[in-house]
Amino acid sequence: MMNSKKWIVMFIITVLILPLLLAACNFTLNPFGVFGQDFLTWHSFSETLNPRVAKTEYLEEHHNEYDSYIIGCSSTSSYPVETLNKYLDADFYNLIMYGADMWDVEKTVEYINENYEVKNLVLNVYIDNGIHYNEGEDSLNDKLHYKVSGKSGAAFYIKYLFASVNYSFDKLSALRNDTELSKPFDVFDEKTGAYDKRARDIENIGDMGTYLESYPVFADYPPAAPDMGKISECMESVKVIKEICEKSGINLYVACAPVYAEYLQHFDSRQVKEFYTALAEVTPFYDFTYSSVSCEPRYFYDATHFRNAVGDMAAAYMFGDKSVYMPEDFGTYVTRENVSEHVKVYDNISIERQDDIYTDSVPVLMYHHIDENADSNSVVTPDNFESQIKALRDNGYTAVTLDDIYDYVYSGTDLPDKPVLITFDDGYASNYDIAFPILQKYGMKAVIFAVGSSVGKDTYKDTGIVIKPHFTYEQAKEMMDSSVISVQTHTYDMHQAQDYEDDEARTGAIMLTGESEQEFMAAMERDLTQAMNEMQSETGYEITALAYPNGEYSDLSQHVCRSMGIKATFTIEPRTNVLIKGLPQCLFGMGRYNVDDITGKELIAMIG
Amino acid sequence: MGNITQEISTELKNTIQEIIFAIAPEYDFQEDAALVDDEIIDSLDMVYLISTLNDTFGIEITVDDITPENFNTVDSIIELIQSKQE
Amino acid sequence: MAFTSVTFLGFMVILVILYYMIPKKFQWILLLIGSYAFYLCGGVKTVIYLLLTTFSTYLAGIGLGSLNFKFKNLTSEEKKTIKAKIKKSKQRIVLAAALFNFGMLYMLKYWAFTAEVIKSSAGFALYVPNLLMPLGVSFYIFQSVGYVVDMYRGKYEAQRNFAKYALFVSFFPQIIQGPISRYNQLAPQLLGEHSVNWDQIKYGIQLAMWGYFKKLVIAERAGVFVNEVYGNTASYSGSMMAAATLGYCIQLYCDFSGGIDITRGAAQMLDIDMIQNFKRPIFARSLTDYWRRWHISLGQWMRDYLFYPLALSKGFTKMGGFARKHFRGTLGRIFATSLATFCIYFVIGIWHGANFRYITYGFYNGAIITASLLLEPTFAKIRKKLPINWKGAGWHFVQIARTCAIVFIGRYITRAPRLLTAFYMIKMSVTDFRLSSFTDGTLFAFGLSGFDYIVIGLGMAVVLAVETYQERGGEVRKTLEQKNPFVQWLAVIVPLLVIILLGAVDQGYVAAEFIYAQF
Repeated sequence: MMNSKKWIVMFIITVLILPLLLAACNFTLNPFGVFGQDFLTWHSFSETLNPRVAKTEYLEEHHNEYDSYIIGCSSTSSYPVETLNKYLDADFYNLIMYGADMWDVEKTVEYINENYEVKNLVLNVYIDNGIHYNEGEDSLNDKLHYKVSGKSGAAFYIKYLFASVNYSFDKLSALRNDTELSKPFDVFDEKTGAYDKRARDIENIGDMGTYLESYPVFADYPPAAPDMGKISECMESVKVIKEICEKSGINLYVACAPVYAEYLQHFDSRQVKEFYTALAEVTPFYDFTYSSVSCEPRYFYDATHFRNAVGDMAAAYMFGDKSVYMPEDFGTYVTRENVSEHVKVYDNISIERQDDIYTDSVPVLMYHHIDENADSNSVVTPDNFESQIKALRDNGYTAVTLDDIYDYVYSGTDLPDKPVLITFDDGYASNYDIAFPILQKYGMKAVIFAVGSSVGKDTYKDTGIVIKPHFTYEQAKEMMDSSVISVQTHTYDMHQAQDYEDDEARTGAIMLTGESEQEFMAAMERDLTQAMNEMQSETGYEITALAYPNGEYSDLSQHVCRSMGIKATFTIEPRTNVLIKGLPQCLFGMGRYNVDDITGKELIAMIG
Repeated sequence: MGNITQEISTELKNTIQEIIFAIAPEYDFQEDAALVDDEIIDSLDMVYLISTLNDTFGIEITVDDITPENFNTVDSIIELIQSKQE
Repeated sequence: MAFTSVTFLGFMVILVILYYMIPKKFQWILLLIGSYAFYLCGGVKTVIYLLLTTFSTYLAGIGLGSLNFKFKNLTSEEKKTIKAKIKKSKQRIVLAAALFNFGMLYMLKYWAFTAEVIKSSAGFALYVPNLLMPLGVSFYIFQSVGYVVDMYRGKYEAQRNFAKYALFVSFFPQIIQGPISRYNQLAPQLLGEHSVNWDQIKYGIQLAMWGYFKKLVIAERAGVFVNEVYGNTASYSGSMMAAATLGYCIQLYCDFSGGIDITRGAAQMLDIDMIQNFKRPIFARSLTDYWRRWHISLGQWMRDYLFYPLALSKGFTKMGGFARKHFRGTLGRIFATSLATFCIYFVIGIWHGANFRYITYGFYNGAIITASLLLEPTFAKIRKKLPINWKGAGWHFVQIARTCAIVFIGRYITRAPRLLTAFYMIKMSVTDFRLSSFTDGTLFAFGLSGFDYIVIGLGMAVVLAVETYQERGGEVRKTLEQKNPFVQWLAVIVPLLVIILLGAVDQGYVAAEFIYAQF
């Protein structure tokens, strides 16, 4: 029997043990990554909880891999390190810390200067830096690492030892639910330090109406009343950063991130002008804040963050790369001399877009087989095909090539009026025998997506089962040499026919049952490598585009294509594509219209 | 003297029991249940009881007299009434 | 200082340890210091109101006490002549104290509302000073005025020591949301000497843990759902409104009774017994019974200081006599008391707050109770005719269900942001009841996950199980101490883990303030 006195002793002991259990839990599971490296280290998870603390811990281990840094609050992520590495021949790490104010940045610059090799520093100054200064030291998610802030290490560790146990539980559940592409609990790419935007960077962007449906925030922009009360403190810190760079011989580049025009409108223009004038007093900078980019929602991931593609534009401006498209009014190099003239632009912030300047509509047609016997909707009779091509030419359509659309999105070269892209899937011999001559006759061009494993074959792989004949690599080279056709890939062997296969057939570029993400990615990479290598060695031409077999695809397959250097992917979703200059991801997941055995007149009516 | 007091007491007792019966018919006078503590009569009943007793006996039972001790049994009620009659 | 803050826990630990270490005759001083420290944490400015009430009722008590003393020492001759004069003096003192304190309460709580009503009906605007609401004002004012009336009735000796009296008014566990205590029940304990009683400390800890469980694990969660629906009534279907009201019943009960458990647990750790404020209201068989189980101390205060004086006053007794003569049967008998009852419930209604919803709530309760009184004989006749076992479990269950339904409807009235919205929501709950709302994912749009709903459900199941046991006479803490040490240890570690893990307990995290704390 336990008497009350013993009970109370037992109670007190239990209560005292609980904090110890909590501390042990937090120490082992280490959700914020502050307790050194161990078997449960997960940098990108910890960085998502608090990038300041977790990145400091990450760099302690990895700073030898980098010699340059880009730093600032969350918009900083969109300056791609790959591009900066190219222009400056350096190894950049993106020290973006969401919610950072200039005090955080100053302290961090001080720290990396003292402890790491820093050759170049790109400082991103965002308009919000004038609102907040030195806030957040009280919050677990907002604190700086004690080594950076110079505050007490003991207090720091105690705070994280006794953090709510929910963070540790979140880490456990996140471990179970983690996927290859980013999740809300894991938004960073450990290696580059930037946000992992792989999924966002291959999503098809095009038509404004569809975009607004997916991102309604742009249609109904939230109100705000920001007060820029910390401008002088912010610029004091910028001054300190500049002095550190001068003293240590660091190349400093200061850039002001693009701001979405409707957000900019909420600010008091006098304060905005004060902000940029004060900045110019301290250092010259590249101002990307307001231009026609700011008025276009599609250049933004969300209400305030511009896309990586725009970051490429900014880097191109800064380092004089004229081959990259940017709107004429994008970017100004601001100095003390021209700032008073420059800031006048902030008196009149308009949110009007003129998207006919930088967008264009391109329908894509999809054919498969040309034959007298038009027994399915993927076969067109030669007569009707000719009538269709003739009708296109007669109605003023110009067939564009892949290079044409690449030039449009990468360099901003305008397309002809009434563009149309003609494509064929599978690589049937009929394309060479019948379609090729007709296209030549009418001065039209086309793209053929050939299945690598059936090039030059009329039987299914090595089974001997008879299939429609396909053209050979020689014929492909002949077509490409004529500049009428471009032969691309429909994958090497990911368009299998289940009827002819023993195991589960890979009918498209998606995961098989029970296949892991890693296995799928490896399989697809192997397949594309084989397709690309064979095309290169047999014809000397490169593969840059892919059409998905059966139109099946996922974010993961899109990501694999992009990582392998594919610049355009095609689906079977029936829609006209809106291409946007400067946004190469418009070329991913493009829609196509299947063309039946219809007459030319009917075709014009269909795409008109 | 004693006998007369007895008679008056019995008469008092009957009157009181009648009043109580009107508001709490289920009360068993033989049992020793406490009217207030065992919640046989509630506050509304109490008001009726007091105003009736006041009327019947020409006394003035006030709020201060409402205690369980005074009202738990018929005998205690009798004592209360008698104290008020002085 | 909220009960759910780490500060409060630290405060209690230190207080309890000091309490049993210092000489026993100073214990009450420690409590006084602690209570004022507690009160000042809520804001230094409002303590002036507390002091005003304390001082005014203290003086009234002394004045009444000396008059009582004077009266006692008169000869029976003098008594007859001076009695009326003394009585009048005493009445003046009580009136002064009541007017002063209720006047203060009126200014703090009800003036803004009155001014608004006058403005919208008569058009002219009256000055409304911007006053901060002192913590627990509705509670301690009632408690102190109760003391004054008790003194008028000569129940006990006045407290001559101002500090000791101040402790009675400001005792910290009850200051936030009651219970409203009686001087002769609480003061002797507060001022007495207490030795360490391990049983009491243990029971106190257990009771407080139970309170924390209800507040942090159940009430906090349910509140998320309730606030969302009631805050955006246009966006949700009738079935969601009904579900949110059910959630509100759960939230309100767990929050309020949980807070009371913490209050009584804390007091018990100091070897002080505070009266119960809740007696398992879910088992109420009628609305009248409900008010004997819910906020008991308020009901008893109303009964002893408002109802009895009102119902036994000359005016009402005359009215009663009149009614008995002119109205037949039951109506005659209960006319005056029903009217008094109705008034009481109206007061209970507006005690909660200054707006039309609470007035309506008062009328709602008053009307139903009065109606049931009037119809009681009719029901009795019907009961005799029907061949149903009225003492059986079946009818018992129906009574409970019926009472739950009545209380449930009443909750719409008090929780809705405006009175008309309440009626709208009640109507919608019936006309727009869509089962689809439960399956189409709306339930997960409030910020609560499936897990959260399970926690609420299981939590309420535990509460119901415990209360059923208690309703049958069981005493949980006594039963628990009979079990073997391992079971007793489980009964400590499991609730502690549940509260910490599921109770949204975080560093510096403060749970939503007690719903009743603004009163």
